Amino acid sequence: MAATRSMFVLSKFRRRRYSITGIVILLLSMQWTAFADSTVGLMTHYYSLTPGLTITKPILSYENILSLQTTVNAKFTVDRVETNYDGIDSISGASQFTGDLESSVDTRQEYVAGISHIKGDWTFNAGYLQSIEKDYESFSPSIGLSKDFNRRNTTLSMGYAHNFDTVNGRFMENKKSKDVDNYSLALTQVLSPTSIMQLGYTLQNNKGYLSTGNRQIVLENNLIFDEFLPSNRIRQAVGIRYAHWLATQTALHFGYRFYQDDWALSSNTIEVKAYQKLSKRLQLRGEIRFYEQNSADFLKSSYTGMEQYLTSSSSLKAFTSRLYGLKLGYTPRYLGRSQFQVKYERYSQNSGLEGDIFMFTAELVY
Amino acid sequence: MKVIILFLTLFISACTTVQPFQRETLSKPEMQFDMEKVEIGAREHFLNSLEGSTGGFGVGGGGCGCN
Repeated sequence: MAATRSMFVLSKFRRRRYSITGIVILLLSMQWTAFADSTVGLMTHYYSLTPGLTITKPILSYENILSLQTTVNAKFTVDRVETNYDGIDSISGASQFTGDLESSVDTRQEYVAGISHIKGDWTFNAGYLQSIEKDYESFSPSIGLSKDFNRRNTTLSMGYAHNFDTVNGRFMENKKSKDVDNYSLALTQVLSPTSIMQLGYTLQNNKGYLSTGNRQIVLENNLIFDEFLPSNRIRQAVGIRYAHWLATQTALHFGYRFYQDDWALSSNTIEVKAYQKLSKRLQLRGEIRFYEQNSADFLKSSYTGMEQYLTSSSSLKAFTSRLYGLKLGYTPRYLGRSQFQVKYERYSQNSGLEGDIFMFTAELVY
Repeated sequence: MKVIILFLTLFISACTTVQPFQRETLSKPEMQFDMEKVEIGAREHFLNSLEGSTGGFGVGGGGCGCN
């Protein structure tokens, strides 16, 4: 594992230089090899959450169909996170933080490249992801395989990815490593000429330092402890998705996911989306998402310091959340299948966290 | 889990073989589960940083200091 990890742990400058060079070469070489549609997308998200968190997230994506069998893709993402409390994790439990109240900004950059190839009824894909921010680095190669059966009415897919992560939070004296194995399995089945369903399962095995190094806990005696989490976490989820086409030119999507891990946290998620063609060039999408989770078994409202594990992470607490959204897509005349999209979503938890999400996308298909 | 069992029942009982010439509706972009994969990936990353769950479909996605 140490030898494998060293393959991916280059200096930050060299990693970034290789990543940018690789993506530029990929994009420049694509034009003369383009066979059919290529897509360039610029998507920007803006999140404004209470209390005190704003995120600006531009994403540049590229996909090129090299041939009938081969497609390549690349993506560059920036996450600019600004908080008005102490540290990026202030949203996790401000009442238990220490330090001065001050504004802080962190920027994360993510580079992704992938390729897929079809041979008969088989599809192979491989990818690489790199995420870098001042207190966290993640390198993740991935592979996937899918096969069609029953005259392409049934598709079985499986995938694997490994995350080589390094954590170096503000309260840490030394960097620590974290390794994650990700497995996925999915079965897609055509039910009728107007409906399709997918069943999915994912397993994630986390090992190593599982905190962010940015959270502390104030004990009942006012002493300050760093957050201390278990060094293992096995996370499983099973999901079902169903899509149905109505005579009103409406596509309805239903989704349900059940999640469970060995920290005793479990959750239920229900999503409903409706795509409606308003005109030849205008499409509207409405969506609703309901979510509920219980808390991790070692989470407490206050700690004495004698506990084995201590955390102030709000993501491990019990809460429910709602998300409502509308997205409008417009396909201009003379630009083929290129499209502009605007979206607004409202997110809220019963814990008091709530906010607005805005998105603008320009997608050029040529 | 009851929801899963209900959907599985519908899944098994409703399967049929759809011929290629009958797949026009299924090929529409809004009938694809991965049509908005960039947008969905961004939303899942955001929600995973606020909520304690992850997964269900697909692998990939790197870690971050946002959890």
